[in-house]
Amino acid sequence: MALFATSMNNKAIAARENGLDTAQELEQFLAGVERRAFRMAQLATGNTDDALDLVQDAMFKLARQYAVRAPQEWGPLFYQILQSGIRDAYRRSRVRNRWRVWFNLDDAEDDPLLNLPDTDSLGPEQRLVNGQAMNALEIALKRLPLRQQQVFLLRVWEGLDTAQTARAMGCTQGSVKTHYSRAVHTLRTLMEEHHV
Amino acid sequence: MNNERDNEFLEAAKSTLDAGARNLDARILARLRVARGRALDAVERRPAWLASQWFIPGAAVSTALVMAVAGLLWLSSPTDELTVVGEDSNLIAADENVDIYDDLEFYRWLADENDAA
Repeated sequence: MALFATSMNNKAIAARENGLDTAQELEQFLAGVERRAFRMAQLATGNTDDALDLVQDAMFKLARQYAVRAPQEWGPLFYQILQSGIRDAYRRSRVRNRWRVWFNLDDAEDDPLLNLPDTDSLGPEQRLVNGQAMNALEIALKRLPLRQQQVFLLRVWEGLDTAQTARAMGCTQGSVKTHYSRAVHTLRTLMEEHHV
Repeated sequence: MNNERDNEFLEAAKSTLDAGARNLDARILARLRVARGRALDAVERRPAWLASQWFIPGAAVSTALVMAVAGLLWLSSPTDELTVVGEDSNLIAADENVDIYDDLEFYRWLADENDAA
């Protein structure tokens, strides 16, 4: 009986330690991805508060539902939750914008890329390192269709491979390749066209 | 060549995006910290048995077993009752059969007599 009690006690202690390890690992993971996740959500929604809500929701769902999974699975799972939230927010905003257009609540849109000061004839690689680079890249990214933007950021910035990106976005690997290729082409063209 | 230019462009884009993420303002960083804390609270509050990755499959298997046992019991027990009821109803419906059962000893004796003769 005493042996059984000791065994149960050891198991409880191990489980508690294991829980702490999981929490610590998860905190490190979340701290590592939160800034990029926020920027991705912000680029997609164009709104800081919406982006923060989306990241918070993704963190909470990951912790609540998938903390027991292996840590190497957290990345694709986290982005799967986040991208799904982004797509929902995007759909809602499109409906909202359609109503705004119907009721003429907005003026005609200016092209933000045209408003950036023209620089010189350097290639886009060099121009990205100057002070306007962030602005220019951000504007160009916002002009991409949502799926292309998501694929580009997940592949280039987050470093997910094609299969992980497909899983995160809920589409096929072929689709990811197509979106990625188009995104790179469009971004390069936009940056070159506007000399930014 | 084109591939090389693409790679340079992608590297530059990544560096630019990294720089943007590094320079987030303090208010946003504070809110991200709060969000992280809430998520971690959710992990610590969740009971270990519920958090286990075997909880859902285990619950599904248990439910399936209970359903299977309930199904078997439901299918088997009414059949027995119906059989008994069926046998009883045959006896009740056929009057001559009841008479035969009543005089069974007589018929056995008669058969023995016939055999002996």
